Amino acid sequence: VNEAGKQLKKGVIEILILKLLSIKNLYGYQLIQDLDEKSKGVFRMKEGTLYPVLYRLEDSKFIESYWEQESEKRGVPRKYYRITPAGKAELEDMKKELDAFITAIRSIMDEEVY
Amino acid sequence: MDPRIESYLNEVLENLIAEDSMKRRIAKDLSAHISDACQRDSITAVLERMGNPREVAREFMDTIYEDKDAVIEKLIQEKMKYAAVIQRHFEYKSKTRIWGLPLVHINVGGGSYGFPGKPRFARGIIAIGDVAIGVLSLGAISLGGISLGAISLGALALGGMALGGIAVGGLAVGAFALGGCAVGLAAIGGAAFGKVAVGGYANGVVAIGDKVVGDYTLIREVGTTSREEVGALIRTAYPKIGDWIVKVITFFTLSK
Repeated sequence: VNEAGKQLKKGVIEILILKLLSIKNLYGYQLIQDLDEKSKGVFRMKEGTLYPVLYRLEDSKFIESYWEQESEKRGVPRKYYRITPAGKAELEDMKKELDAFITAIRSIMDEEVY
Repeated sequence: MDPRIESYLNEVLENLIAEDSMKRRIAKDLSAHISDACQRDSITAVLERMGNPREVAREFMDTIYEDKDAVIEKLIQEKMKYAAVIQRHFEYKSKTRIWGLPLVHINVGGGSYGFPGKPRFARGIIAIGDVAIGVLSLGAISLGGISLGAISLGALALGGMALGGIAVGGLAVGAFALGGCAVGLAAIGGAAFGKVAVGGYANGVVAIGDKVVGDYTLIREVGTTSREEVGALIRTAYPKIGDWIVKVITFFTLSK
């Protein structure tokens, strides 16, 4: 992925994470898998990219985390993330901004060259 | 935890410049993450997919410090802390020398604030330093004729832990020891062990105090125990003992 692609991805990763968490609570590994599968490989996130974004969202109170020990066999507990009401409101704002952004970009990119 | 995972995580953390709290957060999350990934693949495959630990650390930092100003601010803070340590250092060495040693040598302000730093050594007739050696020495660790420090060793040693001819301290060990716990030929303290021991608990050939164990014992009772009584007991055990020693011991025995 080139630098431009990286920057574009960084710009939308927060909204994608909030969207996925608005559907159901997920743990980090699941988020990486879902982003990868649903985007058909376009949003294949590295751990070093995903977790700091999660920290940022958590510190901004848009998401919260909780640990769950799902079975005795699995020694390490899982850290789940869930969206907060503030996160839902933020998601709605982000969606509107993104829509306006995409429309604006399209209107420029689709402009015919004379 | 599998040693391969542990070593991988350690390498990521070693290459990460971040607050300790952030490092702990990352370590915990990565550990859980790897554990999840290993439900599907082998440890080797997972770690290979994640890539070189240095690169993982770099990715983390790249995202954490998206705002480069934060990195610069952090580096400035680190530099200022380091500068503060440098500025704390003070050294003075007098030009006057006696027996080849400076009359006064002060050398203080070793490393701290988590920065590695050597303790500062002072050597002189009067020495003041993190480690001080001199006729009169003052330091965290002091050695000399008269030494005062957390740990002191000298003819006259005063300190938390004092070792010397005359030792006075929390733990005092010496020919004449005075302290919370005193061990010596003559030991006076909360707990005293010696040839002549005086204290709350006294254990010695001559034991004088509240609880006593010894060959010649005397239970001390304020108001009723007399100087003569104490002196006589010590002289019974040690007939050739000097008068001044008896006087000193008697003084401390009855000054409870």
